Amino acid sequence: MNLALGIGIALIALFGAPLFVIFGSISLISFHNAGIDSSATIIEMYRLASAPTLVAIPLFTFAGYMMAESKTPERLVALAKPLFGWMPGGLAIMTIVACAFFTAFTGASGVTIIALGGLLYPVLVKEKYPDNFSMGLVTTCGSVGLMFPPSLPLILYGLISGASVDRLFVAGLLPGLLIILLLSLYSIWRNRGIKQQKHPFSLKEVLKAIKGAAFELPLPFIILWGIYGGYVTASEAAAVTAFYIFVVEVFVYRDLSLTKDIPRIARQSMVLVGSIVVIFAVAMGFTSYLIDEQVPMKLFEWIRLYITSKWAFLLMLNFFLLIVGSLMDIFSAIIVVVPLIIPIAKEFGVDPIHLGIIFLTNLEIGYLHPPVGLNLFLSSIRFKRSIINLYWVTLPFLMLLVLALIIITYWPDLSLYLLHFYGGK
Amino acid sequence: MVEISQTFLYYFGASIVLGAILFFSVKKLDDGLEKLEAFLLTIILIGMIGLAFAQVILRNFFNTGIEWGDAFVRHLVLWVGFIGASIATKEGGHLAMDLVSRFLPHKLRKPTAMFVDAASAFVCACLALASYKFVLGEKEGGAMLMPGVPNYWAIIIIPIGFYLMSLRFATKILEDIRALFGRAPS
Repeated sequence: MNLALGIGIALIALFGAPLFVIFGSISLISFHNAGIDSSATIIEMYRLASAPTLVAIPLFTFAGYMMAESKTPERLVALAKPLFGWMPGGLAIMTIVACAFFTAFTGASGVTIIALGGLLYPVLVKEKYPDNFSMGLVTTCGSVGLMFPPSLPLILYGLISGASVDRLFVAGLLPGLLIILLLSLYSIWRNRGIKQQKHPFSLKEVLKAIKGAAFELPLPFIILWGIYGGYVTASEAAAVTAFYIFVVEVFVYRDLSLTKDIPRIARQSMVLVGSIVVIFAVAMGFTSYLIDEQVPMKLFEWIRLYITSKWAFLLMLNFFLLIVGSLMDIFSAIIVVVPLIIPIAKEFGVDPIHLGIIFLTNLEIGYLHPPVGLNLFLSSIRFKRSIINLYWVTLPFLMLLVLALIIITYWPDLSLYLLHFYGGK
Repeated sequence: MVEISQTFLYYFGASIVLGAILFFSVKKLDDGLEKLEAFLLTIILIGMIGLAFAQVILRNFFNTGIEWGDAFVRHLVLWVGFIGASIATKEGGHLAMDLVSRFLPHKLRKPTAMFVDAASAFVCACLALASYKFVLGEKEGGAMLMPGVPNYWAIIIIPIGFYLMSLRFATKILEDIRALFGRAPS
């Protein structure tokens, strides 16, 4: 009976059943077998619904979608162009920075490629960057910036793991900058031989662009100041951001109409939030059941037969997470895998904050990883390219991200160093 | 523990089957529900932002706050989440692994989709029942969310959400069958 059910679940999983249906059915079956009432599935989720951080998820998502649908991307590009255009490889760097900024706010839901990629790719090609390089860069940048506040995956990791979200925000800074740095250096090196039109730096143009984006620019600084200064929590920052963006886009810039655009954006963004919440709802009961049954500990005992050092464990973890990241979206992966990994990692002496950064780096790679990386599909739809072609053009970037992953994994202080200066909790 | 009677189960199952047939034959009902859901989403979301922002201002500048405000906003997350999930079901927007179906030949897609939708409808129905039991348990516990509003009013959206998802998956089975016999919906 159980075998038949198992095969059935595996089949619907392969044929594309929603993940919450898969985890829901596994959860219901294991509770049934253990003689536990099915309502236990929901109880655990409800316990987590009382975590204050949960509120940050819909608020930041809505704020991000509002920015994506307004003229923020245009204003961002208008500002980044005079700021970076004079450097060698400047426009490529502009692409990386603008995308990172945008992704941090839109929570790596794929909005970046649709909203910014479509704007930046033609600019890159017009400035004589090679087509393959530009395509690869734009596709890669759809998920760069995941590590910066207030990115949704960081918040979700904090919520699920119990690690402090504020500390995660601090820990993600240097690793995030490392990725930007690596991509920038590569962009400069790759385009070294190309004759490009020089854009002399013009203060006048910068000031003009700053004036254009005057209402949006202070936002990241307000958030960083508020969170790093310890004035507001992540969920409070989400409330301020959502309110601020709402007022700015609807009443100041008037990019969005209250009656036409806002309901559409509310709907789009809440479809994403809803699909996260239902996975949350069914998976939490199941993972806590596994933890009660000591499954992670048994797994740990088994792993220890083969692996004894922390470093070998981290290597294995990276391989495992790369596979997870290439199969699942980042949100489901965090919800389902994190609770089971945390106890094992603890036994190996891995810091939960460092683990979070490793986790997110792996999943960031998962966005680009064949066969089903989300960025590949989004780019393929947005730019009408074949998936196979995108596998090729993103390959150098994929390798750079793997290099970043190795550095981040084996140099814990890169993630943890700044925490010494922060609160000291 | 709260028990659910056999008769209730029969009515519950029958309501999903009948509801699916109704949704399938009168498309306007399904679309109307979706419009209502989208409307509720907008209202709740704007209310959430307003209340959460007011709390931040009250707390940081006036050292006060609405006592039930934070708990209320947290429960609203469940409302936008489950209403959003219901719409996600209608437009096929749920997160999935989708390893094989992308590469499957067109002919095979409909039968597998039917299989997946049927399983999904069944699992959602079970989850609706499980969460309904949970709500009944909360009702017995008698906790209050805010003055005059018991906790279980707020979480009733969980069984309702799963019920609507079950209904929509069941409707999809019928649409899959129609597509299988060649008459695609306009």
